[in-house]
Amino acid sequence: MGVGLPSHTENLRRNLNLYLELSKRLKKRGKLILLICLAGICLSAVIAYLIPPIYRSSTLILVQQQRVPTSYVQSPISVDLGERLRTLTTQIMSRARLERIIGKFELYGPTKNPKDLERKVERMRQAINVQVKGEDTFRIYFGHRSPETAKRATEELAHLFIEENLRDRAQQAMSTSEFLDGELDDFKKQLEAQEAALREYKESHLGVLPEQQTANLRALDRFQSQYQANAEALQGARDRKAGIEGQLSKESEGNAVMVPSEPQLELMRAELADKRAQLTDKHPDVRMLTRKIGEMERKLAELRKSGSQSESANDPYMRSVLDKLERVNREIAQLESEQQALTDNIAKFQRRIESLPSVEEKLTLLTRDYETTRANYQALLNKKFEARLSMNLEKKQKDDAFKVLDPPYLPASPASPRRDLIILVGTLVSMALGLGVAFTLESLDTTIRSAADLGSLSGAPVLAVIPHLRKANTDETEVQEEQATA
Amino acid sequence: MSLPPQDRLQCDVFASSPEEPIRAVPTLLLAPNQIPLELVMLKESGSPAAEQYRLLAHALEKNQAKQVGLTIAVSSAVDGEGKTLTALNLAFALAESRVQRVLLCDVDFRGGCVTQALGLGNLPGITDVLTGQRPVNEVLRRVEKNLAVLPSGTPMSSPVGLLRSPAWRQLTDSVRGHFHFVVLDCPPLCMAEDMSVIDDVIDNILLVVRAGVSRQEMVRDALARIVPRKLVGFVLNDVVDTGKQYRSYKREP
Repeated sequence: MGVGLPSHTENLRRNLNLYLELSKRLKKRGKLILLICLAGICLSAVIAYLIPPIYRSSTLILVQQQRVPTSYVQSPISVDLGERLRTLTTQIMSRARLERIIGKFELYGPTKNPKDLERKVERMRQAINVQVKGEDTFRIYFGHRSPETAKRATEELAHLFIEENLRDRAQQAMSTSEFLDGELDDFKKQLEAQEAALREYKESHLGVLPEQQTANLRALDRFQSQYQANAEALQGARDRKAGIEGQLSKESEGNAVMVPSEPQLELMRAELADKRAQLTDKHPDVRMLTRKIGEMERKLAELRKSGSQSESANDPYMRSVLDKLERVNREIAQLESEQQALTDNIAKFQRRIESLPSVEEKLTLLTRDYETTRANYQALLNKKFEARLSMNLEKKQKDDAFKVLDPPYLPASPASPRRDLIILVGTLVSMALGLGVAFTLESLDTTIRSAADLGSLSGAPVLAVIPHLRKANTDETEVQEEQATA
Repeated sequence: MSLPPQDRLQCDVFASSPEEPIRAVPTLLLAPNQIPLELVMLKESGSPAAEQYRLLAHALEKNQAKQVGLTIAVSSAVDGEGKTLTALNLAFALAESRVQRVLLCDVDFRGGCVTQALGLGNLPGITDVLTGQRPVNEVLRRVEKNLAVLPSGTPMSSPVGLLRSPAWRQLTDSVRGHFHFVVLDCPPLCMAEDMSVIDDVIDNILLVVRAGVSRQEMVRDALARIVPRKLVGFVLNDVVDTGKQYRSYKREP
């Protein structure tokens, strides 16, 4: 008798039997399941009723929008309600404020020490809830053990919110204004500095400024034409002088004596210098001229000593020629000094004209910066003006920014704990637990309880199923004896 | 059959044929109030339990291929599952017809309690025979006309040596030659190795399992220790709530 492979239906039947067995066994454990269930229900009921009830009061607040249209005056505050509320909530949930409320209503019993207070503050924070409802309303919730206190604390919180909001807005407007003031100051300083720089530059570059350009050009023109005229006159004078000298030399050659005079000496010296520049000292012309100069100097010295006029000087014709020569020489000298002056002037004005581009550039730069700064400053001034307007608007609107739509009510029934829910959940959980425990116990139980269990172990048949026999008792009325002795 | 000469003369059992009733063997007198209630074949022979034992006996008889010496080993995984009681009841059921000779051997040498179950306390038995202290006919006891009992005898802690001795072979050979059925009350499979040693003597193995007590792992372990083809079936013992069909069938007079 070996172990055979069970067919599919056998398997099914076996499974069915298994489930039947299991349910039978679970019935066996019925008491256990019931016990766990009841225990669970009791426990959840106890918990439900032990948890202290919390009453919740709430109030609905409307956020009124600005009444003067924003095209006239921009509100300085951000309009996003959610964000504003978050900020406000954080501010209101600050320790100082909550501590005050806790103290005023004695919310959580007497305070023993600072750590205690901290805990209370935290507890209160947990009990407060602020929710945005719709576009422009929000609701404040507060839960507490006593309904009266819940209501009053909610009122207080609503007040706080309203106050805080106003203060917030005023402060925001003010700080905007202060900020703008600060910026304006900075700009003003900058503006003044730039103005000064510009002025300095203009002063230090007087004459070279772009606006003086035409004057400079005209002056240059004038000088140049003057120079031209001067050059012509100089040339004419030099020509005349050459003519006179020619006359003189003709005369002196006739006399074979040259009249010693200072101008003559000067002429000869100039000539010598010219010649020297072109020829060497050994040149005959140069030597002759040097000798002549030497003679003339001696004569001049003699004349001076004696103090008498030379004879040639008494010659009226010679004297007139000499006079003419002197005049021409004087003229030439004057013209030459004029020429020098003109050359200087021309150079000066040319320099002025040349340096114009760089000055112009620098000036443009300075001016542009200045203009920019001025424009910014102006813009800022405008903003400040606007800010002041909106600050005033805020002040006027003060009373209507937040409005209580729905004042806090006295809660009639507790918001938590949800007793019915706790008990229901408790029941379900304990039922599941009971079943789970029973099921686990059954699964873990590998004792053999029926012929079917044996069937799964081996293919050998169960030849006999002996029922449970009662233990021996004294009652022997049922004994049938077959105490045969054959 | 090499029993000592004096035994051969006095051992009437082994001289007579199996069809004859057992004679010249000391009889066990069973005191009714000392027999436990579980020996239903004696105490409540009309009960459903007794019927089950009869069914069992019948199933085993049907299995019988040979004439004499069908050796049925009754064992279980661990102790306390009801081997001894099953062996006893089975032996009585087999002997009920009064036709065939049945021998109940207590092979649990460490602490067999067949004789205790019969309310007779400790009696000398197989161990004493194998150690040579007693002859066989002194320890063999008759209970019914065709039912004899071989107690285990003096308890031994390690009987494996005895079981390997030639004396055991002689005993079993002669016993199987003169009884139709030999029911062996064996030690628990998982707790002793004896079974594997006497395996060659056994024709059928009956495994007793106690409902609500035996665990599947233990039964599996026991099954692993026996030769599978010799396992003839299980006996499920001590079943609570067997359902309506097992109510006793009795007509009120």
